[in-house]
Amino acid sequence: MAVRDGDGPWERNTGRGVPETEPTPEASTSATAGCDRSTADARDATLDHVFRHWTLSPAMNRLRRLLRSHTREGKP
Amino acid sequence: MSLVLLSLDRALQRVPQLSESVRRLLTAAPDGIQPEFAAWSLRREPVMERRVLLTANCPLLGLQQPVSTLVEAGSALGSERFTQVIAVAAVLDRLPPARVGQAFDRAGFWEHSAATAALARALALELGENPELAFIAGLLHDLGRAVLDAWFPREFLAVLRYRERHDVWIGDAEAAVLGFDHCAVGERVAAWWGVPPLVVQAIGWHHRPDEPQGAHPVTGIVHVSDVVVRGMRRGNPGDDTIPMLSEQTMARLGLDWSMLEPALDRADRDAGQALRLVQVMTAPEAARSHLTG
Repeated sequence: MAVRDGDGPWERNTGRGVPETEPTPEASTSATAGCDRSTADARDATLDHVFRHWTLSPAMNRLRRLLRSHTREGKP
Repeated sequence: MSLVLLSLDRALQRVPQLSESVRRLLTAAPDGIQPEFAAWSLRREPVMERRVLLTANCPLLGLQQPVSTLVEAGSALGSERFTQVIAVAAVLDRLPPARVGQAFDRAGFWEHSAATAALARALALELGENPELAFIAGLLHDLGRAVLDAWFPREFLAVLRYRERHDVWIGDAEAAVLGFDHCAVGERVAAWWGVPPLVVQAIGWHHRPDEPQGAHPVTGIVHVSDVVVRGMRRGNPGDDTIPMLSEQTMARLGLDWSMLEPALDRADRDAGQALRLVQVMTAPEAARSHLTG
């Protein structure tokens, strides 16, 4: 559930449950591009953690997908 | 219990000014410092001179050939870029080294700043903006947090504890505990120290890049870079959350998502050089012998 913060422009996750995410094409190919599945899963978990406060707006969802894609390519 | 300081003005009385010669150098020539004036002003400050030269010779600041004197640096960089380089050297010279065993991860903080600087530079190149200004603004964007850590350690520890207890973004913890955040602190201190105005704007507004009227593009670039680098977990800005990315800022910059991917690749390649710069410049006193040699 999203709420608008009283003194800021930010849409926040109320903290109940995990952030909403939309299925992404990358989700089914996590073991294919430069790192094994456990590494990819760990990176996904890290992203989940970083984005935990947000019900994802289109921009944040797009950012999350970009970061998931970027880190999956075996880059540091 | 909140530990609200009486006012930002009163709190900032704890922060020392730069040395007289450096402050005079930064404030005497707002349109840009001339090389000869810098050499004269810093003639008795060999450590600052070395810092300026180390910064000027960072490959990400655009010099084709290394320089070995302030006059050479100023001539090669041009007065505007030279002033920005002196400001970085002055700020990093003023900040005391991290204390042993402190709660705030200063090394991780500078790693975040270096990664933000590298991405800001890369985005500026994609957007046709000033890459060196973006790099320097990215490097100093969280100055307020370093100031809090350096001169308000007790209050900043309360911020860190509040953040951990409530699992909030550290800026919210700063506002809750102090009554102001690192942007306000950084903006005020940077302006007082004579940091160039466009860098001050980025320091003060990188979390609200749409608010200042006529905001410079570099403020928006630093905003985007900070958010993205937080998402990548590069370094440690003080917490492990991510603030909202402003779509309005992206639109204003003309920043398309397709531009972010090559910028991220470039930033990955450049991050090491940015990190080396801050590691040398923020090393503990005992490890700084190369600055005087």
